[in-house]
Amino acid sequence: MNGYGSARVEIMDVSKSFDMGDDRLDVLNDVSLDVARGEFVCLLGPSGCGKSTLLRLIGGLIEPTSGQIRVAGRSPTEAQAEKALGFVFQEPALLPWRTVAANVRLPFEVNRRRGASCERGVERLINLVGLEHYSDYYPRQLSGGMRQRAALARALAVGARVLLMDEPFGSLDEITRAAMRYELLKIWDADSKTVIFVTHSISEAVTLSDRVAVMSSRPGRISGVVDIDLPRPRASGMEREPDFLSYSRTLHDLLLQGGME
Amino acid sequence: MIPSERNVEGRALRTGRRRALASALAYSAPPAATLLIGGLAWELWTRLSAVPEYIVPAPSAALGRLASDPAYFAGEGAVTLGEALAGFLLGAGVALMGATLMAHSRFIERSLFPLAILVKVTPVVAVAPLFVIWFGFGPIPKALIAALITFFPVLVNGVTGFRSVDRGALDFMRSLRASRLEIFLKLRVPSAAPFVFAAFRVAVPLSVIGAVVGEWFSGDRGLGSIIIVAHSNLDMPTLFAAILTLSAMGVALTAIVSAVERKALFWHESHEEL
Ligand SMILES: Nc1ncnc2c1ncn2[C@@H]1O[C@H](COP(=O)(O)OP(=O)(O)O)[C@@H](O)[C@H]1O
Ligand SMILES: [Mg+2]
Repeated sequence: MNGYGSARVEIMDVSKSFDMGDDRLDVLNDVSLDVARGEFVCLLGPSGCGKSTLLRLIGGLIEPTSGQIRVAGRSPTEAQAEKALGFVFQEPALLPWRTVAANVRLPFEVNRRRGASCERGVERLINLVGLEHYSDYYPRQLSGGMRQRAALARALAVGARVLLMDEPFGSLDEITRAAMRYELLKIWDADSKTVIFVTHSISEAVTLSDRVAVMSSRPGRISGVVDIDLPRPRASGMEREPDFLSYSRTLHDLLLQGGME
Repeated sequence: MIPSERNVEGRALRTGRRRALASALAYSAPPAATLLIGGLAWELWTRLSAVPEYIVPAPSAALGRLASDPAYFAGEGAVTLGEALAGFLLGAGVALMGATLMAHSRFIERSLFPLAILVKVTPVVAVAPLFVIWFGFGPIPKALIAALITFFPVLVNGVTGFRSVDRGALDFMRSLRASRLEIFLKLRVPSAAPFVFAAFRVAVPLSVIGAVVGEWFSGDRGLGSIIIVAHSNLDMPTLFAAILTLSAMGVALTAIVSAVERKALFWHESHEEL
């Protein structure tokens, strides 16, 4: 849609440990995953298994202890510099002193990229997430779902080619959350980014993904990858289809196996 | 999203404003009434008990002295105010620069913070005579004392504030490869503002104390030296008039800081209108 397209993400034998004084905490062990351009992949796993850590590694916020990560063939740091990454966190993390429009403009301002084209870009993104009447509102004047839409628009700004979403709907109520899933899919359809989406909800993973990487804990690793061969566009009501249920059961079993060890 | 939601929010903002006005009244009327009643009781007491004026003057005597020569008190008040504000600006400026350095480097913080605590625990009154020797009888030593007294609260809150940054917002900025300067200006400074304003609210009256203490030690200008002279002459109405001028100055300064704070921190939960 904005011409930046999507990017392939390669995770190769990545391990991550944190130094805790004398101790060492092994959080990720030998994780490999190849995410194709434009693919929607969910990382599904119990909390504490290292999903956020993996996402932060891909985003270049932390460095792997060993192994390599490539975003469009480059290091995450280079991807950052190209503004190829768009983060969305569980908390919207908007700047409360900025209006919705000013928050979405922030990525354009960083490294001085402002200009007329930026204003058009901001407006388009705000329309894209359905906040056209709210550009001059401050975050605290918005509902949780609307804040998360604004955070999504901000992440899409400048032309991110990979969206890194860390339980972005995790603090929303069930109804808003369901609506946001389909909203996100619509935006993804229009904008075809690569999306890596962290969740611990099985139905969320099945609803959204092309593929689901199931993770298990201590140390975190990918215990299985499941292709979700459901037709697109996905629509509400699909949760009751037999295929959907059988995928859910498969993922459920994989999660249980991981947890049993 | 839903049009009716907008209207609800607009209405909430309007009633919020009206409520803010009402609450401002609710907060200022009772203390004003208390002050008035207390003043009347005091007036009545000095008249009935015939307590000598060189011990406790009637409020009317103090106000009368004030009214007899308002230009005098205003002029000397302006001297004190100038010293206090110069000191405040200097102290707050140095403190914010120090806080900026400390917030970015634990090493600098470890090296400088103990010194800052030394400054804090040393009673300013004890170094005031020294400043007179070093910097003479003019306004400079007074401003420096005011600066010294302002320094610490602003420094501490500045460091805390610059570090009190939302983790997600910081991660987002870093994921854009924002420079340290950009993160500082776009994220740390606004995040620190609530802390810094809290420090200002404490430091502004402190800077007036600093200026007055400085005036006690040297010079013949300012409300502080009026107080010293009036004290040695047992001229209580003048002494009380100077005190009243200082109180009025304190109230005005606090009101100004609060007003600026409300404007600047409209987004912060401490100024929630809803
Ligand atoms: N910076 C860090 N320092 C130390 N331990 C960390 C750090 N970040 C994460 N961890 C630990 O790594 C583990 C996985 O965390 P996380 O990736 O947040 O899990 P998830 O997102 O799957 O819930 C947890 O045990 C957490 O305590
Ligand atoms: Mg997490």
